[in-house]
Amino acid sequence: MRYHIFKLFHIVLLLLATAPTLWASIEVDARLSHHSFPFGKAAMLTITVTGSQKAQEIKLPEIENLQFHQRGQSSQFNSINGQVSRSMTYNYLIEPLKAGDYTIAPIQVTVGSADYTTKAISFTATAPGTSSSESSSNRNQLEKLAFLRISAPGRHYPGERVPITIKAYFNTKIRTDLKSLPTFAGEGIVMPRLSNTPAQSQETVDGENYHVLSWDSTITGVKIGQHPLEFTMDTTLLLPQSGRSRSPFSGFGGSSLFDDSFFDSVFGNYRQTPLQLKSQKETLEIVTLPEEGKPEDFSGAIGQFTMQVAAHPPEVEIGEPITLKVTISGEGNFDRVDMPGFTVNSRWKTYPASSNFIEKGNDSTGNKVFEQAIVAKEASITEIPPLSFSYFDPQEHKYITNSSLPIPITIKGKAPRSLPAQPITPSPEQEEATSAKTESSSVLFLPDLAPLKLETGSFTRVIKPLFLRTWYISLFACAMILLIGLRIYREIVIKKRRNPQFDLQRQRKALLGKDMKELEKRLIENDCRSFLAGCRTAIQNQLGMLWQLQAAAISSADIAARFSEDSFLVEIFQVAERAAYAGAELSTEQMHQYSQRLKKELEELP
Amino acid sequence: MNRGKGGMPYLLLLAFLLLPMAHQAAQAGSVVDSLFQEANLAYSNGQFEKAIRLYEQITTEKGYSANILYNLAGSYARDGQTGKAILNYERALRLAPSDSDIRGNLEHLRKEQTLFPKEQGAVEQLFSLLNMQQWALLALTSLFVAAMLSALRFRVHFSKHQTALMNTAALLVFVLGIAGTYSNQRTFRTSIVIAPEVRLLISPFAGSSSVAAIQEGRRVFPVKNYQDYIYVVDETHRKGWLKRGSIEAICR
Repeated sequence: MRYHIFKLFHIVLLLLATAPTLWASIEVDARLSHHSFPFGKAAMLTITVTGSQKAQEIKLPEIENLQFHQRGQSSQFNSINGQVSRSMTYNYLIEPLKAGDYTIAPIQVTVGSADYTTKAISFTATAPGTSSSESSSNRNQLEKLAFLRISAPGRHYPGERVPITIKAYFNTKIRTDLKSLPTFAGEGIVMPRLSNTPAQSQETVDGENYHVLSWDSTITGVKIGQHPLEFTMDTTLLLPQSGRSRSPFSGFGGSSLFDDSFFDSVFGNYRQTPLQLKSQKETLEIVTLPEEGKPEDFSGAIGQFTMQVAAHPPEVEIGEPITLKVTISGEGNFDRVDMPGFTVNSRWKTYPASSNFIEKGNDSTGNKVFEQAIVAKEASITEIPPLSFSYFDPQEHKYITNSSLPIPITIKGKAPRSLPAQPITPSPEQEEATSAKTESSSVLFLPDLAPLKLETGSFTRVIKPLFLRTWYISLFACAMILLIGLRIYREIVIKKRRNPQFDLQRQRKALLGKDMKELEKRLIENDCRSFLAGCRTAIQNQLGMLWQLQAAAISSADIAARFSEDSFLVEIFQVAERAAYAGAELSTEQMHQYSQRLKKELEELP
Repeated sequence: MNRGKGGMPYLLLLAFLLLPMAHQAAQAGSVVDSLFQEANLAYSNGQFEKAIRLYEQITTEKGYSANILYNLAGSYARDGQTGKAILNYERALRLAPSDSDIRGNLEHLRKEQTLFPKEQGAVEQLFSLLNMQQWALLALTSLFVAAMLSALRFRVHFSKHQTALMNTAALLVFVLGIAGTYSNQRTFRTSIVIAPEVRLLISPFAGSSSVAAIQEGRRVFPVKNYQDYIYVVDETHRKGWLKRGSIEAICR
């Protein structure tokens, strides 16, 4: 019992001791460990809530290029001169993503049902490598991880397209984010926009493997002189950080309390480091084109070119245009390649040319095709004169002129007498008619016109000539077929009439067909006697027509007299005769054989 | 067996199915008729532009008819658009070659515009005795006559001389018909100059020198094209280039 009372007493005492803190005033404070530190490092923001309660909510402000990372909380009890106080500390690591000045706006902290705000805190994230030797050493190390190289341009002429290769090297151990394409600053040099998709490869430099991005482009010097050339390229390297590396606070007088691996990594062991790559410095020297030997028609084309000329059509009427097609092929500054023109010529009328460049690989290599309409003013012209194109070859260091051969053409017809721009003077009759017409049209009165039609009539969708209409074509075809058919039939009839044998043969053939059909029937009935009688009848019919005798009167003797003894016709006729008197027994197969052979023999009769 | 009534239900069904179509056709026809009447009324009241618009609407919706084209041509003529008037008279003539009103108005208008063609040669005069459709019908008829004569010879005996004469005559008429058709078929490829103050150019370019002025309403025969220009020969045998929009083909 006593024990319990004693315990109860201590609890009450404890409560009474802490009671004042329940009603103590709440204070909220925010502090930053460092107000100036290099970009790439971090600082600790501590928000302290003094009072007896902990914060329900802390609303961190959203600041561009500034990141907050929670790093835990802790609580503390203090008792000073009997006064007990309790505080909660919330820790955040702040990391700037860019060098510059920052202000953390007042932070709203909700404690209980009330909101409290801290003071604004300003700090500066300084640029890396600006002052300390350590930063310089860091930069050297970074440059070994990524660098830029360009090819040496050399000595060239104004307007000449100079090939250049730009290579960006990135160590394969690191990840990189490209912020820009390679660019250069300088006067007197122009370069087309680089591709967003450079060629990619891998190279080994000083024992290290590099991922290489390459751009092949051209630069053109437009001013005489020496022009420095240096390329830059903005990137961000994602550098890995090892386990217990130095904390952001080491070397800045930071407390050793924070000098442990808890604060080491920002993104799970990687850190973003912006880096501007710079290439080595080169010089582009532009020298003047030589004046000696410069052709009159030189337009500034520099490179190596060939020319082809064609004209179409080769035969035209006077006044009809001819299309002249000139193709300039090769490598060089095609923007300075112009259409080769005729020399000043009063015999030809020329019109503005159109051009089209067909690239082959890059904008310095390809074909430029010009098309121009020309009109011969005289019918006596027999050829298109030669065209010439001049350019400067930088490898040969001299001017070269390509000339085409004359192109033969034929101009047909007489040249019409061309009239001046003024209207022709009408004859008096025409004038009278015209003035009458003008009068009448202004009065809009044509009394002699027949009146309107009052019915619509039948409609058609297309106005077609009669001979293209379907019904006409059909009738025409029918008439032609009928006519040709009748002609052919007539020819057959005439032929028949002129050749009696033709008709006789036709009749014999028809009769044979009929007799053979009859034989087939008897064969199917398997009537041997009747079959043989049919055979005899067939022979008699054919021979009767052939010999111009009555069929029934033909006997085996007649046949034997005209055919050889071993003739099948003789044999079967005799068998048939015997069967008529004495009967016969033939198998179906035998009758079939007889039928086939008989048909063959009778068909072969003359 | 009574066959008559067996088909009645089917006929009724067919009539029932065709009735909406007939009604629709009748309705369409009545719309065209009312447009036609309205156009004629506009013409009579001197509202030629309105008449032109209505006649053109009919041709767009329904197609071409000789009467519509004739009235349209008359409207253009009254409105002072000679080229379009002659074009539509020519079109009407293609559809109704024997209509004397169309032919008369066309000749009258061409005379008013002093559109006199070049004098024709003997052959051209021969082939212009009939129009193209008449020559084509002549050729077709000669074929049928020749076929009939061939059939008749199976029944009736003709002497060699008679046969030769008949064949020759039929062949001659056929050949003439074909030749006449061919000679006149060019008229179907004809275009009419529909723009005023048109010039025949030497070359197909703006600013090219001019060969001659060519009147509105003149017949031209297109030969070839170059971009926006057409090389033509007119009925007086003058040649040159015209801008595409300044002429319109008679046949569509």
